Amino acid sequence: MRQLLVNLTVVVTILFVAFEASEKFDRQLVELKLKHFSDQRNWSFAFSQEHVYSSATFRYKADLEAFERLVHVGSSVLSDKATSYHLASTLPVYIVNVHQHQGRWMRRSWTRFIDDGYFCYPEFAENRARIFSHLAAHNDVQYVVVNNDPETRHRSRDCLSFRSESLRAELPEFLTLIHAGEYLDLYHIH
Amino acid sequence: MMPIFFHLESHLWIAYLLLFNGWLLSLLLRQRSADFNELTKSFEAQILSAFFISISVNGIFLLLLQLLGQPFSLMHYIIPTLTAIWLGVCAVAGVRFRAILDFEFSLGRAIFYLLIFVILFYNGGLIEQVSDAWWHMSLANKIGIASSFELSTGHLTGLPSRYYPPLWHGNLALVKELSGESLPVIWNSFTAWGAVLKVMAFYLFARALTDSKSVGFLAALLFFVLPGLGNSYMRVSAWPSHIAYAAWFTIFFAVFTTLESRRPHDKLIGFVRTNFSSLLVASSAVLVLLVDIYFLHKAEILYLALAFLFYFWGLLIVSTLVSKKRGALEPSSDLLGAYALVFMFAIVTLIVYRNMGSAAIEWFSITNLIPAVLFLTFIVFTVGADDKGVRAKQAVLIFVLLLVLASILPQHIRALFDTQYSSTARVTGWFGRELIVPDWSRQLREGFLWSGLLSIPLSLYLAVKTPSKATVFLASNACFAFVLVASPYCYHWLTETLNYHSPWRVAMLVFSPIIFAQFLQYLIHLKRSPR
Repeated sequence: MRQLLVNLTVVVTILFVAFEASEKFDRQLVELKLKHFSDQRNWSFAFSQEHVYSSATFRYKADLEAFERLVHVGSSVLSDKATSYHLASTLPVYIVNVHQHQGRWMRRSWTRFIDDGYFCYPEFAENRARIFSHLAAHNDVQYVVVNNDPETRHRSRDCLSFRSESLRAELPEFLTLIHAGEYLDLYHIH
Repeated sequence: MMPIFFHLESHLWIAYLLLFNGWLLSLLLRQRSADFNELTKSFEAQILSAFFISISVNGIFLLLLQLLGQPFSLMHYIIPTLTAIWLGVCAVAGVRFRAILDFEFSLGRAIFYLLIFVILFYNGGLIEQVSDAWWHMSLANKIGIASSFELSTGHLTGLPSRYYPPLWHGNLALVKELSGESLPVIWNSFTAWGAVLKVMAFYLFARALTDSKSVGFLAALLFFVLPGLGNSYMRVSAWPSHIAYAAWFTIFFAVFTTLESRRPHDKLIGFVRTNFSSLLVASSAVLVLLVDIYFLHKAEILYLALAFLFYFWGLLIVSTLVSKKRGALEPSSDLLGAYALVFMFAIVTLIVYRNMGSAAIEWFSITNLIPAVLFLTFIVFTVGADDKGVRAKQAVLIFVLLLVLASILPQHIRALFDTQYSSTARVTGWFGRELIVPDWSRQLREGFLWSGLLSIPLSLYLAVKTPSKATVFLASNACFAFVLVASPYCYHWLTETLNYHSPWRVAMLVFSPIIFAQFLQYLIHLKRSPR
């Protein structure tokens, strides 16, 4: 009887461990996390470098190398949030569009400027007026980088991406395109 | 289409800059010291010592360059020179090829680590999302550009920023400088190395604690596959906190290995005198790792201190309740007792210092009653003799433990299981005041449900059925760590005392993979010897 109980406990414990470990083999969980932009912090057999490559900066290498030759050391750059972090970790520049817990409150005016969406849609007259007044009042940002990469995923949560053509067309008096890369466009703010 | 094997160059640079020079130095140390040789006899210990020596030496030279006002690019010359010097010294010291191969090797474990490396190589680092990884890379980038650990402006926005321990960032800047690879590439590649280092360190910790290779291996396997708290997340293994976790586990290994293999002695002074050489080597290794942790992430020093405090409390409880001498369970209990007293007095002093004046009366209110009673009880028990007033001690201890259990609020526990019921940052305690509680959704729910939570009663069962160093260590850490996050009174006190943004991470002291591994070993032992 005692042996049976011991055997049963061994089986139950192993089954429990297998059940707990099963999430590492759960393809649906990975897809769900990707869908909801949830961090995949743990490893999974269903996760691969394909996901990393599509959203990390590896493909931007040529663009970033070109930027490094063009930007001034210590200058500040405005871009969508994801691209901003990529720039800060690669170039000698600072960024203004950052997460709340990493000093966003210190860049209050730029945060509001991006979050309100005025800068992304300069084709509307009302927005243009706001952009003009903001850029005239704040001269602490020297460059704008627009990410045109159709594959990277998280940039879709920030309105600044994909607006390159619109910015170029609508704000020629403020922005000069100084490098049109394969994925990233670099503008200088006058 | 992605290449099957990519960023090979960055892996070679990581192996050279973060392992090779340290390995040469550890070879020399093994040649010079039999105790160090004994401590690093397994290949895991050799790899970990190579890594921590490498990052420490790199950090020292980077700091020297900063103090001399020289650019970090000079490391292009310094690193190869160091390699040549260490090789030369190895040759002069007569380090033989046989000595290089003189380590304890296991093919099974090597295949396991290789598998971890391959899995993490293809999983990569968590950089496909905007995670804190990018913040750390930004800091490493700016440290490299400024050739200084002390940046005049914040690295991210250019505005003032908080200090972050820079040792790991300095090493990343070094790899970037010498390899010419970008930081995201280095970060992504190192994730595989970091995961292996962390699991190796966990294996050593579990093995030294349980004195069993099989339990160590099973614990390492479970650490890799079971859901847990932050330290078990493998895709973030390149974060400085995870380098610190590896150092943390390695310290446990060094301490338990040294205490286990030493000759016991009745008196503390005699114990130190008879084991001076090995204690000196272990203390030096622990000191280097502590300094590393201080400049990597800091918080693990506190978890380490708490782990040994809880262990000693566990020894006190077991020895009191079953009327057994502490020394019978842990030959080094005197040493642990001395440490626990110093640590408890340090905490009490810190609290008194912080709350001097008008705030003192408020602090010594009902809110801090539970931790105050716990501390007072254990201080009295530590100072007192094992065998005096046993009945009274048992009664007091049972009363105190029941008081601690009673301080856990049912609604807070319910929020762990029921996400709908969750979760405010504060609850109202039994005595009316608003208390801070941890948000279960911050890794805690994933860590506790279910393996973390189940491991707590299992650890208690093991400690009762087979009281030993390992079972008491695991049970006391599991229980006290859980109480700290489950009891609003304890958590409120911890938050106020630490002044740290994530005190809930103390739950990492529930070492569930080792508990499960030991429980399985216990069951197998029962199967083999039915009586």
